[in-house]
Amino acid sequence: MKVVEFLIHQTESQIDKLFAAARAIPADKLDWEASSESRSVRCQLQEVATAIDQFWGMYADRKLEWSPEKTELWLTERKSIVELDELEATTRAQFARLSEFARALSEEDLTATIESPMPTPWSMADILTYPLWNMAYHEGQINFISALLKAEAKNV
Amino acid sequence: MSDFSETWSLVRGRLIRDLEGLSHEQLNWRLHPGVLTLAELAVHVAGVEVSFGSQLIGAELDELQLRLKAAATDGSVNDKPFPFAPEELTPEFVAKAFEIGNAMIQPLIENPTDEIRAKEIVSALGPVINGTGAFARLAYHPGYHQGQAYIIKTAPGFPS
Repeated sequence: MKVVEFLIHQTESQIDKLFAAARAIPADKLDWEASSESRSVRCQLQEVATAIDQFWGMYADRKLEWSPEKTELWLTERKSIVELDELEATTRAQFARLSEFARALSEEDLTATIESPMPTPWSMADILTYPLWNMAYHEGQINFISALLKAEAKNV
Repeated sequence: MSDFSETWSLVRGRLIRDLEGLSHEQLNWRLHPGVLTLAELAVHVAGVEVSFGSQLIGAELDELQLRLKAAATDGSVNDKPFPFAPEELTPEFVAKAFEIGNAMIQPLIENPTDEIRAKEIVSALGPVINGTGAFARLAYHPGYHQGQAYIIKTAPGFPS
């Protein structure tokens, strides 16, 4: 299996695990936050579901464009996706778009540098792994929220 | 791009940086009974590295390495007690655990042979996986727990 195909396989498996974790959360707790500085399960999924399109320029134009206005708009617009089924469908559709894009890349494309304001240089291969890392990060948080909710329920 | 070494190094580095400079009290603060502390999740990550690495090369482990290997599962994916007491989980020990995990995995993930990639081992969650599957899991495992570390560090009551 080529590395891009393996990465796609891994990321699709990660989407499965992410939404399995989310579906283990009681529906009335999807907006629960562990603290004022951390985010609910739904808020995290709204980010994951829309991040690829939001940063599509990173892939297609090899350039990360970032502004407070653009971020503010993203934060507002993504809240319109509410239900888990819809969030999962959006996540899968956006990742399918990225998969198709990745399959067409050459070895040379994978090592191309992405123009970004970040201090560490990123290659195309680096940013192709980003959805997998991000979903693993949020799966960890969602499972942690699940453990906290169970612990709280025992104490009630 | 032939393996997961760069991702493993990057993702692991993020978790280590998030824990650097924290005190013994902060590392062992428990947000709620039934969830891991920062020290425990760090040692669990190192423990999975020791578990996978030792199975991949068939290494015999010393007493400390055996306890780290137990941290891959005990207290995190099963109901056994975590194999290290909070008193033991100092900042220095957490750093040492990461060093031991790194020593076990870095040579393998940077230059994996076909034999290592094909070697079958038992993952922390139970399924039998091969070396390539082990590297894929290792590369993202620290990221899974980095997300949890953020929740702990931003929770009300986290020691200042």
